[in-house]
Amino acid sequence: MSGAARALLVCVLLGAAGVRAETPAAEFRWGADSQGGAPYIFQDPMDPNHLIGFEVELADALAERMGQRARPVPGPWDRLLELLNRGDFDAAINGMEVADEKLRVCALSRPYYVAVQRLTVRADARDAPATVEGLKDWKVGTLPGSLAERALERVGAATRTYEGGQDEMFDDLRLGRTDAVLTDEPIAMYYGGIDRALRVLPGAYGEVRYAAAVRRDDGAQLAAINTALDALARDGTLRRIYSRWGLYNAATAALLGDPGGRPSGVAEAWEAWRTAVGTPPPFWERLRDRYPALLPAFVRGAWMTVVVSLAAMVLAVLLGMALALCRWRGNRALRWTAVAYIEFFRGTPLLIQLTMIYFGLPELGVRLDPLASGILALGLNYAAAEAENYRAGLESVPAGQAEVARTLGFTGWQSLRLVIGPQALRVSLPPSTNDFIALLKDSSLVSLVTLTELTKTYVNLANATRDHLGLGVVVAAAYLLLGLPAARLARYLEGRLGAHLATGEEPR
Amino acid sequence: MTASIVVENLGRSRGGKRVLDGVSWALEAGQVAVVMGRSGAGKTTLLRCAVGLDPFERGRVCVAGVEVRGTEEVGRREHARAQARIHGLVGMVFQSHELFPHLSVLRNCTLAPRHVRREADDVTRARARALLDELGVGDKVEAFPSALSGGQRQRVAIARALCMEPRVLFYDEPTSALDPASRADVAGLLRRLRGHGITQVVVAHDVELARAAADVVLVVEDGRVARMGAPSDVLE
Repeated sequence: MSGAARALLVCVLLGAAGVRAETPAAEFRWGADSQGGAPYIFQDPMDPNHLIGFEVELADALAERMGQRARPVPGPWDRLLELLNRGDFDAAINGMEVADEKLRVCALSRPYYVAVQRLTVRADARDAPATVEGLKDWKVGTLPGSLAERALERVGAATRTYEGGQDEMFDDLRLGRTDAVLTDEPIAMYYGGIDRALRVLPGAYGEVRYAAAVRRDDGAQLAAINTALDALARDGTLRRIYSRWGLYNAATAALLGDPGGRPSGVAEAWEAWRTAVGTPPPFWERLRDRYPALLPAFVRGAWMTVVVSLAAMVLAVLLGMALALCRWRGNRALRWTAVAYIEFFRGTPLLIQLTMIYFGLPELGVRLDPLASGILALGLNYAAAEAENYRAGLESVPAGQAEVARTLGFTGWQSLRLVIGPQALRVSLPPSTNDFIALLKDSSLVSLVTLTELTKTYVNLANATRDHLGLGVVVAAAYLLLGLPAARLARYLEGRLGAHLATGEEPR
Repeated sequence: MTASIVVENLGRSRGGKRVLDGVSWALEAGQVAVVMGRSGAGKTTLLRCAVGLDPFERGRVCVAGVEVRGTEEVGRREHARAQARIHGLVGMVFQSHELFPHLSVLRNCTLAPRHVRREADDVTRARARALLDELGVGDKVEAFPSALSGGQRQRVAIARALCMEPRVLFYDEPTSALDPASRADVAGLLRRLRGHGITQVVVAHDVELARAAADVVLVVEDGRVARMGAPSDVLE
């Protein structure tokens, strides 16, 4: 690795360490997947710069009880326990179902909510079964890793799981790609219940309890959460929150020691959701009235995309150059090291590399910040592609050029810098530009490690507002705008480096 | 006059075959030698060993007091180091000219003096312009190599080598890539540079060129110098 590349890596790692060092104990960091959607935690369709949801209110109330300030940390729902154990947050509060196998990897608080499971079918569907067993051979959508998924598999249903979000599950049902959706009642109510083409069946197909997950060795946190939950149940806070969201049911009332209890007040949050996402206005109206308010969220996402992509590209370019030189003129050991590196990073999925760096390295005592992990994974991966681009460039320069440089007395480095390099660069530039634009898009993978970039912003907003197409156009435009300067710069550089081919005159 | 280049007992083997087998010759300052011989006789290998592009096992090459001895005598490392010292003292004009395509004619000529000899920009520019004028391509300083004819490229390649003020200038087949008109110019060019006291070694098939410009003709056969002497003697 060249000296500059090493310096950059050190900077990235130090920067990461700096970020990690300051986590004030006054904060209660709770992990959740905002992509999961309503009514748990999602972006307010009326003001998408705010996260809302009954679990947001629950976490705020918990933190207040514990004398802390709540800060949500985003992460993919099926990775929340891994992130929790990495120490990325203090508790996972996101419809985590109480189940024995969870207790092997984390500790669970006392349950705070009981959700019955509901079956949603198309409005015109007949003879829907009244029990889970009746769903054998039905095409049923549900969330991956949920109890519903396991129940469906047990009875032999053709299960389809959805990583993306609740919305897609119900879209597929409406479009006839599945026969039914089996989910917890809050999801069925907030997505199936507002759609005239769908029908949420009244029967209960099972029951799950939600609890907060904490690390097994964090007894103090567990005790604090349990104490706070007890107090919130006693003083009616939980009942008020659930009622606001239209979620207060008999089973939860029994759990909170309020048998026969009725909801308090009107379900204003539920009404607001119904109004906001019921029937979306036409695209041009949304463009005029809604999207300007989303701009800050998109700008924040785009900024993260740009930071991650640029830093990763710098790392990829420097490391790629070093690898290309090793492969081009290195001794046997260097050559084979470079070949092995390139084959490994080019031949294995980026997703696996990122997972290994973020979740795997801590096992070896190396715990990187999310940003550093994202940059490192993308940079290491793209370095392999860059190395091959540069090697192709170097090999395209005729051998006579290096020989004439030798007879003129140039050292190897001077020959590379002044004679071979500039000629090789012209050949390498177009594929490198392609790679940068590909990297810009691949940077969406860093959402796996809790970073909210452009794609994640889009998915969150689209799930919160049920507006996939319109926002899709907006986010596509944003990516094009980000890639455009890179393409223009490359064309300009190509023009300059290739001036001798075009005109035969030196550019001025 | 002192010898400006001495080649003594030069030997090089490749794949068990002796490509050069005890080649010896010397030139005095300002002489023009034309090296002739059939394809595969060892002419180009002789040239590449003499300018320090290929290693050799036996014998020695000495330019202006700097000596390169064969690898069998001093080892590969020392041999390579001595060859690097020779690089500043010899110039080479390749058959394909190998101009730097990404640089203008002027910068082709000034690049090495600026970076290898660390001369000031105005000094190297002035010398390059004078040489390009002298060689008849003074009006092409801003052009790129792609815009030049074969003959013009060759003159730029010569100017580029001369900008480093070498003691000996080598040419590999200077007439083979040229049209007949430019070919005839090469002899005149060699004579003109001889007038400036530059020692020149030309590898060529071209008997006319040898007659017109050579002081000495070497005929190489099977890696040995078969004949050597004045063109009128050797070419009969």
